[in-house]
This record gives sequence, C-alpha cells and structure tokens, in this order.
Amino acid sequence: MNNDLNVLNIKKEDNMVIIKDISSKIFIFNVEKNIKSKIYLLLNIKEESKIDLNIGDNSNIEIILISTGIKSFDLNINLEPYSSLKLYSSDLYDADSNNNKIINLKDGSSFKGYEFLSARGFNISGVFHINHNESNTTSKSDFYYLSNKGEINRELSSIIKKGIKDSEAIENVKGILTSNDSKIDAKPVLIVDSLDVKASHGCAIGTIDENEIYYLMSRGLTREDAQRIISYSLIAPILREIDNLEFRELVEPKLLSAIGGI
Amino acid sequence: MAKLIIKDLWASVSGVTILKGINLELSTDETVAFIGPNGSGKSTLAYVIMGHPSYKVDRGEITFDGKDLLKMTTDERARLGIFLCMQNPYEINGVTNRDFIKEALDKKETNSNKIVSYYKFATKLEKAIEDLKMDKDLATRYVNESFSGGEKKKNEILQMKMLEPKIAILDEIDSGLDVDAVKIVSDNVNELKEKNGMGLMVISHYRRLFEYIKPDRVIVIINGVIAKEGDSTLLDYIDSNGFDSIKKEIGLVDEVTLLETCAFKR
Ligand SMILES: Nc1ncnc2c1ncn2[C@@H]1O[C@H](COP(=O)(O)OP(=O)(O)OP(=O)(O)O)[C@@H](O)[C@H]1O
Ligand SMILES: [Mg+2]
Repeated sequence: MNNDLNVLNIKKEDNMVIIKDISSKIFIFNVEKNIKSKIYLLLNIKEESKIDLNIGDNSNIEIILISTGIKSFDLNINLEPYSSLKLYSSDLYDADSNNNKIINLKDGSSFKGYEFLSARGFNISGVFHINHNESNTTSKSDFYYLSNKGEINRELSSIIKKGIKDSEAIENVKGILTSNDSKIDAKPVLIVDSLDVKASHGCAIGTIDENEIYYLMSRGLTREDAQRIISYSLIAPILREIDNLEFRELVEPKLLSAIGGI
Repeated sequence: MAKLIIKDLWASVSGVTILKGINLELSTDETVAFIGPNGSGKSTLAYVIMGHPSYKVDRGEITFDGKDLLKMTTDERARLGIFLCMQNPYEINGVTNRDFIKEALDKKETNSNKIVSYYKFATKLEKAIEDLKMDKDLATRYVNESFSGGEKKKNEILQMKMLEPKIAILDEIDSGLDVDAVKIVSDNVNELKEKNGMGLMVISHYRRLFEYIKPDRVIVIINGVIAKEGDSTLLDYIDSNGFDSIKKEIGLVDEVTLLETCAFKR
C-alpha cells in the first residue's frame, strides 16, 4: 500500500461529508468540471502533508473545511477557469501549528474565503496567500482571529500579477484579544502590480470594546455572556453554513471550545 | 409598588462633576418627563442608574425596591427590571439582534425559573417587530450595525418590549424618528405600560413626545441640579419661556452671559 499518495475524485453534484485521517504525504482532491456541490471536510492531520484541491472548470463549489491534528499541512487550492469556490475553514489544533493555505486563481474564477483561528495559550503561524494569476478574477476573504493568552502570526496577502485585468481583491481581518498577554499579528497585504484592478483591505484587532460589553450587560447579560456572544460572532459565519446534521454534531463542539466553550 | 429612589447623588465623568446632589423618586406606575438644556446631565443620570463604567458616583445612593443598585453590576440591575433606551445605542458587529435578545431573555427568565421556548420567543419577536413596523430582516442583522438613526431607536424599544422592564428610562427616543414613527413608538410604550405597569422616565427636547406619552410629573434639570418640578403645565411654561426663566428663578446665570456682561461693563 502506498501511503505517500492518496487521490480522491469528486464527481457528483451533491452535498457530501468526508471525514478523513490524513497520514499520507500527499493528498489530492479533484473536483470535476461543471458541477455544483457543497462539501463538508473534516481532516485529522496526523503527518506533515501536502493537500491539493483542484476545482474543475466552471464548477461552483462550497467547502467547509475543518482540520484538527498534530501536524502541519500545506493546502494548495487551484481554481480552474470560470470556477468558483466558497471556502469556510478553521484549523482547530490544541497546540502550536503552522498551516499554509495558497489559493491560485485562473481566468474568470472567483474565491470567497472565511478563516477562523483561535490561539488559546499556543502559537499559530503560517500564510494565507491568494494569487490572482489571470484576468477576471475576484477574491474576497475574511479572517476572524481570536487570541487568548496565545499568539497568531499570520501572513495574509493577495497578489495580483502584472498585466492582469478586471480583477478585484478584498481582504478583511477582525481580531479579538481576550487577555493582556494575547497577540495577533495579521495585517492583510495587497500586492498589486496592475492598474486595472480593485483592491481593498481592512484590519481591526483589539480587545472587545467596553462599550459593546456595557450595552449587552445593560440588557441583562453577564460580562462572561457578553464576551462569549461577541466571540461567538467569529464562528457563527461557519456554523451558519453547516446544514448537515452529522457534520454539525462533529464540528460544533470543537468550534465552541475554540471560543472558550460552554 | 416598587420605587426607584435617588438620594443626594453626585457623579462625575473624567474628573468633572456633572450631577450635583440629585434627589428623585419614580414608582413603577408613574411617568416622569425629565427635561433640561443640552449638557445638563440627563444622559449622565440615565447612565449612572444603569452603571456605565465611565461614570463615577462620588456620593449618594440609588435604590430600587429597597435594593442598593450601586452595589450591583449593570447586568444585575437589568435583571432587576431596569431598562435604558440609550440616546446613542452602541453597534455590535457579528452579533445578530435575534441571538442577543434571546440570550437576554433567557438570562432574565432563569431568575424566575421560566424557560423560554424558541418558538414562543420567535413568535413574540416577530410580533414586536410588526408592532413597531420594523423591517423583518432587522432580526437577523447585527445589533445596530448600519441601522439608520430611527431604526436604532426602534431597536431600543423592541428590546424593551421583549424584556418587559419595571422601570424604563427613555433617553431621547424621539430624536431621529419621523412623525409617524414617533407615534408608533409612543403607542408601543403606552401599550406596554398599560399591560404590565411600568415606571417611565422620559427624556426629550420635544413637546410632541409628551403629547403621546403623558407625564404625571415634570422634572427640570439644569447644570446637574434639579431646578424645578411640577405637573404637565410646566411643559407649557418652558415651551413659552425657555429654560432661561428657570435659571433666573434659581439664581443661575450662564457663564456665557456672565462673560458678556463683564465685557459690556468694560
Ligand atoms: N465621557 C465624557 N467625558 C467628558 N465629558 C462628558 C462625558 N460624558 C458626558 N460629559 C459631559 O457631561 C455633561 C452632561 O452630559 P449629558 O450627556 O448628561 O447631557 P444631556 O443633558 O444628556 O444633554 P443632551 O440633551 O444634549 O443629550 C456635558 O457637559 C458633557 O460634555
Ligand atoms: Mg443626553
């Protein structure tokens, strides 16, 4: 048995749940051309691995990717021409991690990303790069990070190469620090070498605004409730996408514990 | 009948004394109009009652139903049945109105061991939104975020309707509301008061609101001091004479006037 390479082809137009232990060095997901599909992925990363995800021409895919594990991974996502991908992802490790996600966009493809990470007493590093390699490409990415006595150092960038036309890149970071010894360093960077594009970014990192807490408390929520409901807003966008019950049962407790649990 | 009682209250913000010995009583069946010039301390009093962390109580006491509010956290005061419709409600990104109100209601009911079923809650919320002629999607939008001025005010009243407080302080709920909305909001306030009984402290600069929400008493605050009290005819008096006549009555002269007089004399 070859443990170094593992290939999974996704051909159906359907909602599907895939739960995998990844212990191979290279893992490849191929999503067919011209399909529309919602894929729930729960990956338990046991070995350092390289994961390739190829979205076929003209396919319209939504992926909810939750990873747990003990080893880091490099995720490469290739969007073939005119495909679109919505990726809701969260790496829910209990220790230091250094996961890299790289998105490559070809002609006419579009990417919408949402990443949630939570550092509770450990360090998270790695990159999230979006490469606009061809024209007519759009990307919109939201990064929601939470740090509680931990550190997040994440390199976020959208790169639009020279000569590329009619493209757009938007990046937004929201970071919540819940203790004095928490740190988040994750400024979005737009590297634009073309004039014919729209690009914008925003970044708000800080402790929870006392006025927001006050407002919630004035309606009867305790300080802890207020903090929790505000932190919950970081995972809500992912939970809202999960309409598969089996997957939700697996993932919801992990997401909740990442914001301090109930 | 429970009572909110404020005795000799002195309060400051950033080291500046704003409230200078406020005495005030409000029982859960009466409506008080609380009026005064800009910057006189109306919102300050409202915030102090609700325990805002920026305001410091330097002296005096506030009790409700015999309980010492100043010893309680803001959320404890809220769960006791005190509600503040804020002049400038805060925005909370990422938290939906519905989730937040459900949580607030659950917290209130755990006090009395009632359980709010989601169905009951949703029905009540839907009706309240309808009563206030608000957009349905305001339930799923983030708390006050990108709400128009009027929508924010309605959202305060929506929360009040859901939480059914014993005492509500309405801090300029009419500012930013169009004429029809003032009527709608007032009707909702009156209806809740009729249904449950509720003490109201209504802060406003506009006479019109008090045509809809009729006060039993009128209290005038100037420069952090209660300058005059009376029945609703006091509103007419102030309408035609302004606050200046009251200032003169109590021997208070504007700093600006004082400066002008000096300049003139020289
Ligand atoms: N956080 C603050 N820092 C400094 N000064 C403040 C602060 N909050 C209020 N003040 C001052 O306290 C005084 C009273 O303000 P307050 O908001 O209570 O007035 P108000 O009677 O509600 O006025 P308005 O009718 O304009 O709403 C004002 O002079 C105001 O500038
Ligand atoms: Mg005010």
